[in-house]
Amino acid sequence: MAKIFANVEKGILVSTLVLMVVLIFGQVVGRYIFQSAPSWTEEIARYLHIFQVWIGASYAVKLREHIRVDAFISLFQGIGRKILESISVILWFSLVLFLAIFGTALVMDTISYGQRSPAMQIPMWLPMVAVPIGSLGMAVRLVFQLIEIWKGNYEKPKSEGIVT
Amino acid sequence: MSVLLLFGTLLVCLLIGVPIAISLGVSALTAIYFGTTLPLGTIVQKAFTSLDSFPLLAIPFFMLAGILMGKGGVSKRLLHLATSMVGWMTGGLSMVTIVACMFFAAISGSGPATVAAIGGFMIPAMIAKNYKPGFAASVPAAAGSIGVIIPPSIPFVIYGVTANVSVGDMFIAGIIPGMLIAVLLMVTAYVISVKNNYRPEDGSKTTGKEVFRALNDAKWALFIPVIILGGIYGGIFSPTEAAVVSVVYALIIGAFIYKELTWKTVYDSFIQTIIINSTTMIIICLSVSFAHFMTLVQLPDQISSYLTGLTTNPIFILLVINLLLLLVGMFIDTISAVVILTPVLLPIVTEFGVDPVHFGVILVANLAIGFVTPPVGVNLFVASTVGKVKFEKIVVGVLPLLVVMIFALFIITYVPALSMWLTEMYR
Amino acid sequence: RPDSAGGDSEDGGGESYKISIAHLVSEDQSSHIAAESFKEKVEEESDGQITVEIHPNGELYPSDREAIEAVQQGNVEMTIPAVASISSFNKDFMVFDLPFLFENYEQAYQVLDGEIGQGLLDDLTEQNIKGLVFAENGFRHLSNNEGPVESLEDIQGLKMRTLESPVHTATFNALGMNASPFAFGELYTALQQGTYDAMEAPVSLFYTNKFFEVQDYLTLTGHVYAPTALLMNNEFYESLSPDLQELVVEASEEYRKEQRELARKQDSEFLEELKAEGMEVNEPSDELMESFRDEVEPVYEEFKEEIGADLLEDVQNASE
Ligand code: NA
Ligand code: NA
Repeated sequence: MAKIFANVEKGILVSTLVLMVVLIFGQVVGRYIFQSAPSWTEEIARYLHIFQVWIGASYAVKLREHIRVDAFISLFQGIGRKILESISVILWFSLVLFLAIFGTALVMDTISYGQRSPAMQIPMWLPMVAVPIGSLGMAVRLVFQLIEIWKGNYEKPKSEGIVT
Repeated sequence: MSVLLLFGTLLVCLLIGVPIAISLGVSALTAIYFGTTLPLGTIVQKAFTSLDSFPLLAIPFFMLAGILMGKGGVSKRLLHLATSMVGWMTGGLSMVTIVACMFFAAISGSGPATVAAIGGFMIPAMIAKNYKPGFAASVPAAAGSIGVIIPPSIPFVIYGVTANVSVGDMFIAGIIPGMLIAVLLMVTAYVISVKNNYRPEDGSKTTGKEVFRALNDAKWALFIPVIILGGIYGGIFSPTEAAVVSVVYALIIGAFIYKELTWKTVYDSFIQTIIINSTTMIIICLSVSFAHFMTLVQLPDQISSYLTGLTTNPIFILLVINLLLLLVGMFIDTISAVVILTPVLLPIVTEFGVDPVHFGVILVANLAIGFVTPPVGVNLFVASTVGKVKFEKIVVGVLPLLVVMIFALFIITYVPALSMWLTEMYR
Repeated sequence: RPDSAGGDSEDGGGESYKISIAHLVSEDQSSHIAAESFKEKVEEESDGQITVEIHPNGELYPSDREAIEAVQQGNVEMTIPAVASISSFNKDFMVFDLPFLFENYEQAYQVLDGEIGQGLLDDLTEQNIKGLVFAENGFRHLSNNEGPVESLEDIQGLKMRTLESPVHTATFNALGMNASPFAFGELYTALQQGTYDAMEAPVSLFYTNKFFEVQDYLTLTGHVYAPTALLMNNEFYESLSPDLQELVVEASEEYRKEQRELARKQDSEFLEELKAEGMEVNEPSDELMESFRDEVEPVYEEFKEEIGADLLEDVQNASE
C-alpha cells in the first residue's frame, strides 16, 4: 500500500517536471516557428514548480535527503542521540504543522476573496494549496521518522536512496 | 531582543541536526512570535510567493540537463576530451572544472545551476582520480559563485536599479574582478593538487592523435556549450529557456546518438533532479522569510547607524562593511541581501568617496562568497547532493578556497581600478 | 508574546497604531515622495497616535500582487500598487488594461475620481481592502530596438514583452507584434541580448529601471493610462476611530493631488533625461494613432463580457 502511494507520488512529481520542460520548450519553439507564444506557459510552469518543490520536500523526508549538519549530534549515541534526534523532529514537525494550518487559512481566505492568477485567470488558491499539502505530507512522514529514530535508525534508507 | 532570539534559535536548531531550511523557518517563526507583534501569516505567504519566480526555474532545468548529460554519455565524452588535453597536468581536472564553471556560471548567471550541471559529473570524476571528496566537491561550488560577478548577472541588474547606476556599467565592472577570482582559485587548486599529489598514474602527456580522437568522439557533446552560449548571447532565448533547450538536446543525443539513455535512466534522472531541487528550493524559500523578518525589524538600519558612529577612516569602514557583508552572506540569499542592504550601505560609502559602481562589485562579490559559506551556502548544498559528499566534508574542503576568495575580495575592495578601469574606458 | 502594536499609549490619548506601507518604487519616484508627505501629515495630525513606516524598493514584497495579498491578509497595512495588478483580485479593474481607453489625463481623472472610480474602490471592501484613492504611473509608451515607429509595419513581427495581462498581450498581438509576457527580473538582460525587441512601460520606469540602456527608440503611444491605488487593510481601517479614519482619507486625498502633480512633472523631466541618455523619442502621427485604434478594436470585443459590458460602457461614456 505504502509502496503504491510512493509510486503514485513519484509519478506525479516526474510528470510536473516533464510538463515544465514541454511548456518552456514549446514557448521557445512557438516564439520562433509560429511567431507567437501562449501567454500562460511561464505561469503554469511556475505553479507546477511550486507543487513539485513542496511535494518533493515531503518525499525527501522519506528519503532523509533534507540537508542538515549532523556533526554535533553524531557525537552522541544511545538514548542521548534518540532524544536529540527527537527534539529535532519535533521542531520540524511544529514548523510544518504551522505551515499546514496557516497555509490552509491562506487558501480559505483566497477562495473567499476570489483572487485569480494574472495570465491564466485560474483561482489563485489552486497553486497556493501546494504549501499546506506539502507541509501536511511532511508532518505525516515525520511521525514515521520519529518511530524509526526510536528503533535506532538515523541514516538514509539504503534501498530507496537515489542512485547516481 | 528579537534579533538575539532569531540567531540563538537558528544556532540551536542547526546544532541539533534540524535541516537547514527548517532551522531558518523555525527561528523566523520563534522571533516573530516571541519577539514582536507582527502577524505570523507573512511566513506562509512567503513560503508560496518566494518560489513564484520564473528565473528560479533555471536551477532545476540546468540540474536536469547536467544529470542527463551524466547518464547519457555526454559528460563522459567531454570529460575524456578534457582529460586528454590537461589530464596529464597535476590538478588538471580541478582546473578544467574551474574554467568550465566560469563559462557556465557566466552565462547562466546562477551559481547553484552551475554546480549542478558541472559538479554533477566533475565531482565524481575527480573523486575517481583520488581527489579528496571534500576538495573535489568544493571546487565547482566555489567556482560556480563567480557567475554573479561575470555578466550577465541578475544581482547586478537589481543593484543597478536600487543604487541608480547603469546596469551596463555594472556588467563591465564585473568582468576583471570575476576573472581575478577565477585565476586565484585555479592557482589555489594547483597548489593543493601539488601538495596532495593529484596527478595521473602514468604522468605521460597524451598525443595529438588521442586528443583528436577524443575531440571527434565529443563533437555532439560540444554543441551543448555552443547552444547555451550562442543561444543566450545571440538573443535566441533567455537563460531559463536555454536550460530547457539543453535538457531537450541532452535527451536527444543521449538517447539517439550515444544510445546510453533508457526509459529507466531518464526516469531516475527526473526523480534525482526533483529531490535535489526540492531540498535546495525549500532552503531558498525559508531564507526569504528570515530576510523579511530582518527588514521588518529594521536591523540593517540599526547596523548602519552603528557603523557610521564607529570610524571616519575610509579604509577601516570598507573593512568593517566587508566583514558585515560576509556575515550577512552566511545567512541570506544574494538577491534579498542586495535589495535590503544597498539603500542602507550605499550612502555611507559614497560619503567616503567610493564610486557606486565599485561598491556594487564589492557588494555582489561578498554575496557571491556567501554562496559557499555555511550554514546557508546554496552552492555547498547542491555540491553535497550532486556529488554525494557529506556537507561537513565540503565545509572543510572549501576553507582554503574561501580564504582565497576573501583575499580576492580585499584586492577588489582596495584596488578600485580593477572594477573601474574597463568601465571608465567604455564610458 | 509581547502586547500588540502599541496597546494603550502612555499619554492616555486612546489606542496607538502603526502603519507600514510597502511599495515597489525607488525613493526618488513621485509615489514615494508623496507617501512621505502622507506619513508626515498622519503622524503630526494624529498627535502621535499613528506612526507610519515606509518600505520602498520592494524590500518587503518584490511584486505588487504579493503586496496586495499581504494587505488583504493583514500582513502589512498599506501598499501602492499599479492598478493592473489589482485585476487579479477584482476583475472590474481589468477595464483599465484596455488600450486607448483614455485620450488624456482629464478623461482619466474624471472617471477615476468620479462615481465609477469610487464604486470600484468601494467594491474592494469585499476583498478586505479599503481602496482610498487613485494616483498614477502615467501613460504607458512603446519602446523597441529596431527603429522609430512611424507606421504599423514598423512594429509588426517584433518580439514584444508584455505584462502578465491577457488584455495587454491580446492588444500587442492585435497590432501584429509577437507578444508574450516575460519575467520582469530577467527583462533587462533579455532586451540587451535581443531575446525581446520591444517593451512598454510608463516613462518613469524606463528611466528609473535603466531600460534606456537597452532600448533605443521610444514612441509616445500612450496606449494605456496606468493608475495606481492607495490601499489599506480594511479591518485595520475599520479599527480606527472615526476621527482617525477621516484623517487617513484626507491625507490620502492630499497624497493623490501631490503625487499626480509630481508624477506629471517627473514624466517630462524623465523624458528629457531619456533623450539626453540617447534614446530617440518620437510622437506617432494622428493617422498612425487612428490605425492603432482600429487594429485593437477586436480586443474590446474579446474582453467585453469578462470585464462587464455595462462597466465598459459607463467608463466610455464618462470619459467622452
Ligand atoms: Na553571469
Ligand atoms: Na552563505
